[in-house]
Amino acid sequence: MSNRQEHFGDRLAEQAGGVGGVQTATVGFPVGESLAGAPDLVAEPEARSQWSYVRMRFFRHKLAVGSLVVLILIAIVGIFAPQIAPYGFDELDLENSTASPTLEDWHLFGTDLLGRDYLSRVLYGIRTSLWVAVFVAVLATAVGTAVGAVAGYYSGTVDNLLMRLTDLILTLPGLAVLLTASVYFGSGDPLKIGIILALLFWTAVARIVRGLFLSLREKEFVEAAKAAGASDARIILRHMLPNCVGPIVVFMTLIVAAAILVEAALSFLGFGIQPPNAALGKLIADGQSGGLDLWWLVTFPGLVILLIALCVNFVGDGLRDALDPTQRRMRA
Amino acid sequence: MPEPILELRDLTVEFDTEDGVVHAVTGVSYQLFPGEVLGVVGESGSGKSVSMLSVLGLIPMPPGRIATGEALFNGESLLTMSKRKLRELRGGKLSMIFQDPMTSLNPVLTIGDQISEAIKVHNPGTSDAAATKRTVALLELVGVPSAERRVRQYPHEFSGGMRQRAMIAMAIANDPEVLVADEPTTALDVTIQAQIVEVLKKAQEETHAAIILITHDLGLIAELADRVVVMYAGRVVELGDVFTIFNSPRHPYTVGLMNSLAKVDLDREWLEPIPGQPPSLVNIPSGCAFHPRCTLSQGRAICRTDVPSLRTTDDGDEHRSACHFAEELAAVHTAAGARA
Repeated sequence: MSNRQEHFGDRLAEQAGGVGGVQTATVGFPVGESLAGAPDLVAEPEARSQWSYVRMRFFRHKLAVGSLVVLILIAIVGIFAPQIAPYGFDELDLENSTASPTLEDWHLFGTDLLGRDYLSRVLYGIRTSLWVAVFVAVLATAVGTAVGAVAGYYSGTVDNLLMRLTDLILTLPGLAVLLTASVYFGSGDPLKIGIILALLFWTAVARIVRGLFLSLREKEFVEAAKAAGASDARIILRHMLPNCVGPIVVFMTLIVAAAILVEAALSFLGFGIQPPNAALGKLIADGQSGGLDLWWLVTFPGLVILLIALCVNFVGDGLRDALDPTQRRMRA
Repeated sequence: MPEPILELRDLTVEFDTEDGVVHAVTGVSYQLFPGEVLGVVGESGSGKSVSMLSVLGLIPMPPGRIATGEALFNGESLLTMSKRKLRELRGGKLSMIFQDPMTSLNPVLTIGDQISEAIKVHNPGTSDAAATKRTVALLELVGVPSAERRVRQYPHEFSGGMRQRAMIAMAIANDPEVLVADEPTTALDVTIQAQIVEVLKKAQEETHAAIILITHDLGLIAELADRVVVMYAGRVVELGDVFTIFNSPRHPYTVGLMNSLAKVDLDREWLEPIPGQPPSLVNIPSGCAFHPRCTLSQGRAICRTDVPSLRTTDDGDEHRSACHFAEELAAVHTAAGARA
């Protein structure tokens, strides 16, 4: 099928689902493969929610779907690290240190300077890094959304105060603050690292949500909700927020990617997760002393970071396209 | 005479803009009596919507400002009422239908959700099942076919006419005493307009609400209204029952509006527009705001210097006009009436 035909086929499928299979069939459209799958020829058009359209558009974005699958696999591997890893993350075997990747004894990623199995270390590293990243994304998004929504909805003085606070945090030199904070609050605990990162990351979300709310509050349906007697909280939570879900979700995925990288950088500088806990950035930092001779110590965790960040970005891309209701065309 | 259910007294609404103060509404007074349909007519920017939106607390303040005046609902002041109480009135006893059903419904919530919400906001403790049942009944009342199924659909699955029906259903969900319809048919095409008029009539029969019908469509006024308020440049220029306004208008602006209508029965090449443009509300002409466009004034000084008050005319006590020379129209219009 050429691209054009494929597109047409998809449109047909849309009609089949959206307007009712009967109509499409009786008008005498060429019944393509996509129609053969149409469930039953009932005249009732099926009520189709926004979300089913979103799902449909997302699943057309092959790269995003592929990335999502990879991400899910990585997450599963991370979550079940204790069950999957052939060795414990701190299991020393000094006799067998700095072994290069080998099938022998399942040291697929080799071992490090202390003879710890590197595959196991990376698996546990994924677990820690991913946990921190998701935690940061959720917390930062929640705080940012709340601040942005309140600022955008009420505007005026409230907006001014909240946005100046946001500006203030945005102007802080990130790395310096992170380093100082980790000294003061103590580093090493993934939870603390997550909170510190989230406190820096929420500002971008707040700005975006505020912008969305500023434009949404002028919409007629918000005025209509007001005229129907809805309270401020109800208008914000029920009428405006659902209209911002798209951008917020997309931004959340971007934060996941950014948080993985920053957490890696932080660990690399020695202010992140502390040993013997494994985090991907920390693994690279520890491995760099080995130089090119012990290439596997840097390469494997580095590749995993790259893979996660890339996949998260692709998924975000796909979500952005899928959640944009004006986006009717499919992507290759 | 019964007590008015809603009364505006000398209401003045201004907006501060970069170009200066916009006098959107100036000294507007009118009354709405229970069960009647009051048409508010005027061209775009004549202040007809703002006068209602402002008393409902729906204009942004600032830049908007209610400079003077009073608005009474059942004798209670809407302007000094607590926000909470006003919120309870809105969508309850005092509800509103908006102009554009395409943008007035939330795109991410189902029609059923939105109507049930209106019910639940004003009747806390209503069960989901009860609210849904009432929603279906309301949709059936306003003529949405297979309402049972359509409550689960989203606004984008509704046509314009169906959405406006849904908006009307939402507006009458809590048995309002006053229903403000702000250009309810403007965004719809002509065949649908006629249907919506029927739905509005039915809605009134059902709820016995008094309706304020804000529109620039004189046909709609003729169809629905009992009394008419004509507004120009933020002021009421004529007020009377619909029959006298149409048959013997006593303000040159109203006469101009009537003449500018396309008449099917008269074979005319051109429409007769009112000469000139509506004035800028930042810079309203002195005296009678209509004098630069007026064919009756003919340059008489008083039109430029004195703001005419809304006064009783030769046509009886209930027909008021804000024209210095209202009586002169009596002769003109007997002729025009005979022609039509």
